[in-house]
Amino acid sequence: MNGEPRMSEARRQRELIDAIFSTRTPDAPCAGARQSGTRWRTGLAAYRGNGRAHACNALQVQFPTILAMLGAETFDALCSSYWRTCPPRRGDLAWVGEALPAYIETLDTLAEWPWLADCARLDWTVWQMSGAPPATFSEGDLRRLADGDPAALALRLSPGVRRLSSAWPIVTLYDAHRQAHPDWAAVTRAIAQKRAQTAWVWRPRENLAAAPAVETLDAASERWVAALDAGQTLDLALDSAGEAFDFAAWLEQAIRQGWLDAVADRHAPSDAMDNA
Amino acid sequence: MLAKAGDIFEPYLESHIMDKRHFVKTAASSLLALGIVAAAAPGQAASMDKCFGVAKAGQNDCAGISGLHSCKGSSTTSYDPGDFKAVPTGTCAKMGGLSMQQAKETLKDPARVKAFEQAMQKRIS
Amino acid sequence: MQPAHPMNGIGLRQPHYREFRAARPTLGFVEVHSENFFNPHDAAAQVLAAVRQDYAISLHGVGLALGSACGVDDAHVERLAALVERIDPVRVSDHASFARAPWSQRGIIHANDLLPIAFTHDSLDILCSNVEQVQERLKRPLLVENLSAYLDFAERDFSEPQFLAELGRRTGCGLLLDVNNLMVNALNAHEADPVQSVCDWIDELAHVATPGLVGEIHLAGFSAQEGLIIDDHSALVSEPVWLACRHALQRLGPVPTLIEWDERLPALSVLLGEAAKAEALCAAHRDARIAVEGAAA
Repeated sequence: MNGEPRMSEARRQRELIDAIFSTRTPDAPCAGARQSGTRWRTGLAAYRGNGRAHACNALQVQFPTILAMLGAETFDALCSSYWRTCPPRRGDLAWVGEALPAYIETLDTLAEWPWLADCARLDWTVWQMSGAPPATFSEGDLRRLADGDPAALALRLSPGVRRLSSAWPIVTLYDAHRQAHPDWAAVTRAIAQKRAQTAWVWRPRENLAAAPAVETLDAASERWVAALDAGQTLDLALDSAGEAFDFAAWLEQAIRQGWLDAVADRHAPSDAMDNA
Repeated sequence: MLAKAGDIFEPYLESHIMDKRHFVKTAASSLLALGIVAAAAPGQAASMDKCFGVAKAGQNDCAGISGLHSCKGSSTTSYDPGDFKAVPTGTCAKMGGLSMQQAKETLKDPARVKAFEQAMQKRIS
Repeated sequence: MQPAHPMNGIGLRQPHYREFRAARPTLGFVEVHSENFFNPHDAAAQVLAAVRQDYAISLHGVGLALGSACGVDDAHVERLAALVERIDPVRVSDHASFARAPWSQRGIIHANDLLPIAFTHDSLDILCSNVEQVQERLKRPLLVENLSAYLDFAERDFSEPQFLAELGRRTGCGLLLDVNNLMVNALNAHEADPVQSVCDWIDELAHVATPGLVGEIHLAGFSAQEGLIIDDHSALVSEPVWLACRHALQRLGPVPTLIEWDERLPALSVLLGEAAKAEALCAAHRDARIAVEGAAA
């Protein structure tokens, strides 16, 4: 060893990560690398390209609607830019798309398509629901519902359902990208009218291999589900849903599709806070 | 003397609450009688084989991929986020595409709607 | 013709799931990437559970980032522990690499790559501490794999075989010897005789390591890209790698061997053909050893 002070492993790692995620290729080797010149630049390019290519592949699977909307080339450029700007947090690419919707929202270059971020949120929700745990609703829960007081009970939604509201027709757009012959005039109309939609996404209970379902929620159902999400008691939730809401029909479908996990007791108002 | 609001509404509120209690009970009891919870039990075993067909491609692997190829539009220019320009070629494409302004203009003219639909059809298929 | 009790395996990848399910080939084990099965509820989890009924599973991780100076991600270790609990694998492995580091005021990021570490006392201490932490949580030893490294570092206190042997001695972990990675490194270093250089590496390891350190061998194909050989697992195992593998088996004794293929996947039968080739190599080596031992007796 020569007399120069040694570099700690921690510092070497920080410098290499900086070089990989920086926008510019440092001309001079850093991180105490042995390589220099072209060989340094090629080695660094191998790491820069590999991480990004893996992430782009994963993002294609997680955001199929955004991929179809932007086309392969622009989507790839978006992914590369995202990869560099918002590096992953976890060592599992199943989570790499977590921050993409929010990132899309920050991009002036995509501002002409203001629904893209919400379409990305819907893609991400579908991706998440495709691996959601199954519902745990039991016959005991149903019996509690038959015997109990609606003012002291709350319905707990299963982790396999998700409500997503948007100022844009996200479900119409989602469907159009999955149909053989979509009605593009209707899609265009929905966009021009800025039709707000709330998506209801769930993982079908009876078939683990089935893709998550995506539907629109009508206004009454949306108020109902929002109340359940907030942990409200059954009677308050029914009040906010209003007269138009058909509880019996909803309950039957909820049990068949696996939307519910449990009927929980809500004796004191403070209990509602435990529903996190 | 004017009656207090509570005096007028209390009987209504009570019957409304009784109503709710009643129809929640009715709905739950009839579903209990149908044995719907057991019927909705997950058919996991039946769908297991289908999972071999739908499981998504592995996200993580330890191969070094195309790090130095520029075949995926990931050349050095698109590496820099400052260089990222959106020129969508998908269903958002500017030509007959779905930007807000174009959606509004397209709708004004039935002939443009038709041409747009045909263009989209071609792009999707 | 597959032997009745094969030692060797293949990496099972998604495009082969259906074909694999239909063919049910005879194999010593099947290897998958751990992270792709972290979620116990998705379709992939069902596939692995079904495959587990017929095969021993080796869980090969890519995301622990065992060499990271900022430590391993506890949540990642927990997910791995839960997977190990569900699958009861025959082996659990990951790499002698880092990926986690603080970056630009954003906290700790994960580069989702196998980034190289220096072979110094400092990095050995870090690696040992992380490996020990994971082994304690999993209640079983890990196998740690040598890297293909596209950059390496001027400062070093150990040769790579010394470094890995020391890691094994201090933590009780084993080594997953990737012969293809050795070849990729030799080619990128422009060694005059890459096969000889890889064999020398193996000889040094056999000399300095505790016997039985190597718990598994990886074989794969590489490809030449602009200015570098890249370990992209995209091709048949190259002839030089087969030669080096033969040498490794001679020096180290019989070790379960895996065919890895990740990019541009061929038909499943091609992978099985490679596994059969590895099996024949092991059998020939075993027969030769029996003959030598017989003659000595």
